[in-house]
Formats: sequence, structure tokens, C-alpha cells
Amino acid sequence: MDQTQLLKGVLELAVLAVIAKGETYGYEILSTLESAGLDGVGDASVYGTLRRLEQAGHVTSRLEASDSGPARKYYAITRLGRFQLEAGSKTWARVSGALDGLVSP
Amino acid sequence: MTLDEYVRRFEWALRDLPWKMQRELVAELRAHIAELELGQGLEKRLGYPESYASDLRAAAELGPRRGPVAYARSRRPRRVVAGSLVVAAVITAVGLGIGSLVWIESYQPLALANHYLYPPGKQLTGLDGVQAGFHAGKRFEFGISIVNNGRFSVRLLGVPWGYRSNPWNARLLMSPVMPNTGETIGPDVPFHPIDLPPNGVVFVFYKGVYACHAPEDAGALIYTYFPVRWAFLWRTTTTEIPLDEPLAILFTGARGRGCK
Repeated sequence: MDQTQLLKGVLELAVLAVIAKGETYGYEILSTLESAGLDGVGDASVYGTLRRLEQAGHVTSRLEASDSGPARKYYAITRLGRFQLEAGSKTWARVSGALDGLVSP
Repeated sequence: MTLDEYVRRFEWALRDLPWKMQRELVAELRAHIAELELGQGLEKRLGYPESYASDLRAAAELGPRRGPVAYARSRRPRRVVAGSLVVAAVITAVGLGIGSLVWIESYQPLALANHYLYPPGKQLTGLDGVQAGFHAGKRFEFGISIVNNGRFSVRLLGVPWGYRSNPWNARLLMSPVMPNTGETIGPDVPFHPIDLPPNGVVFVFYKGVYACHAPEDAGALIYTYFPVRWAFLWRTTTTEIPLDEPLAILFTGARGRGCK
């Protein structure tokens, strides 16, 4: 199965998990996801997810001027976002555990 | 595809979103591209701008926006203000135009001044106004002074009686009038179209003799108004100026009816 299709469902959880480790910005989130092996995620999907998370109040953002180019938008997780991450992690653990049992030979 | 072209196409794909959101998304894309340091390889990394915009909207749950409110919000604020001003100016101009047309069409500044002339031998009859006996060949006079109570000059064109056949042979004359006293200044001249300025007064009257043109099967002809044809700008109309005292011309023929 195409990894991209699988990732769409858990991208929100993955992005929240990256931001929960510390304030970060879009490109860095993408790089972290790719380094972790989630290299099928589209740039647009990550930025779209960030916007949705911000609208939902799970993350906040601030602009920081850059010497070399356009201002960077830094994201930080909110308390609500941490609750969401915790709940999502539990759901993911349950689903992945169940799937492991099903797909293991 | 150059960066500017990519951004332009991306922006076009977001054109229905609120203007501020468009700005934010474009700024975010520019910042992201700056981080990528891709040069000419934009489509290879990001896909076509339309696809990028579509993926971003799907992930952000930014569905298509429709309707006049969404349209107004998607415009640059100063363009919305400028557009609103243009619309307001057009509406105002149309409103003023319609208002002016209605005003001009309803403008009627003419009224009876304080000088009038009834036939010789008239009799005041109280409620019935003024009575004068018809007598073919006998001297006949009848007229009123007309004042322009408006703020603009109007042009007096004539005295149209319509279908009525008047029982007189008389010339229509006119004479200037002293506005304060109402007295005629003279000389009396044949009526001709004149411009009547604001507060201007002119005395318009018939001078001649009674004459029978179309026998009326009636005991009298009653005149309750004096018709005046006049023009203002492009509009020409007739105003029936009410008489203070209606004039009744009584026929005293053999049968007591009609002028013969």
C-alpha cells in the first residue's frame, strides 16, 4: 500500500508530536518527518495541517524575521494540543497494536 | 517555471479565500521555498502550483468559498473600498439624476398674482363668482396676472383653451406688471413667448368683443381657470391657474340657452 495514503490519517498526530518536542517551523517539521522515515508526506499537506491545527487551537504561531530571507513562522504546541497528542497517541498505539497482530505472520 | 510565476499560479488557485489568508499562505510558501533553496526545481519538489494549493487546502480543510460576501472578502481591502466608492458614486449619481428628473417633471412655479380683469358689466354673485352677460359685439376683456414663484426662469408660450370654443373675438395681449403694486406698466403688446424670471409678473389678457362661434346648448359657460402653456428646460406643459372668482358668461338668447 502507498505510504502516502497511510500517512494522511496520522499526519496530524505526527506533526503535533514534532512540535511537542519544541518550538519549530514548517521546513524543520518536514525535515524531521523525513528523517524519521515519513518521506512520502507532501510539503503542502504539512503546511495545510499546521494551519488546521492552529485554527483548532492545538498550536500557536509567531513570525520571526530572518536575515537571509522571508520571516519564519514558528509553531508551539498548546495545552489543548498536548491533550490531543496524548489522546491521539493512545489511539495510535491501540490501532497499531491491533494491526501488528493482524498483519504479523 | 520561475518563482514569481509559481507563486502567481498558487495565488490564483486561492483567489476565493479571504484576502488576508491568501497573503499569509503566499508568504508561507515564499518562506518555505527560500528554505528549500531549489532554484528552478520547484515543480519537481512541490508539484504544480495548482496541485500544491489543492493539497494544502485539503489538509487545511479550506473548501471553496462562494457568494458575494466571500467575493468581497477575497478582494484586496483598498480595492473593496475603491469599488464601494465607485458603486456609491454611481448610485448617488443615478439617484440624483432620477431625483432631478422627477423634480423637473413636477416643477410648477406659476400662480395667480394679485391683478385680474373681468368683462365689463360683470356682477359679483357671491358664491357663484363673477357673472357677465353675453352680448354679441359688446366689448369683452378677460385676463389675469401670472407670477413666477419659483427660483428659475420659465418660458411662457401661450394660452391654450383646448377643445373649448370661447364666445369672443379678442386678441391676446400682454403687459408687464409692477411686482410690488401689481399695476400694469404697459404698453399692452400682442402676446408672444417670453421668459418669466423668478418673482416676475406679467399680465395676460384678452381684449375684443363677444362673438358666437359654436352655439352652446347651455345657459352659461363657466371659467374656473386660466390655462398657461409654458416650458422649463426640456419640459413643456400646461398649467391651469385657478381663478379667484370663477367667471360665468350668461347667455340670454331667445330660449335663454346658447348664444343664438
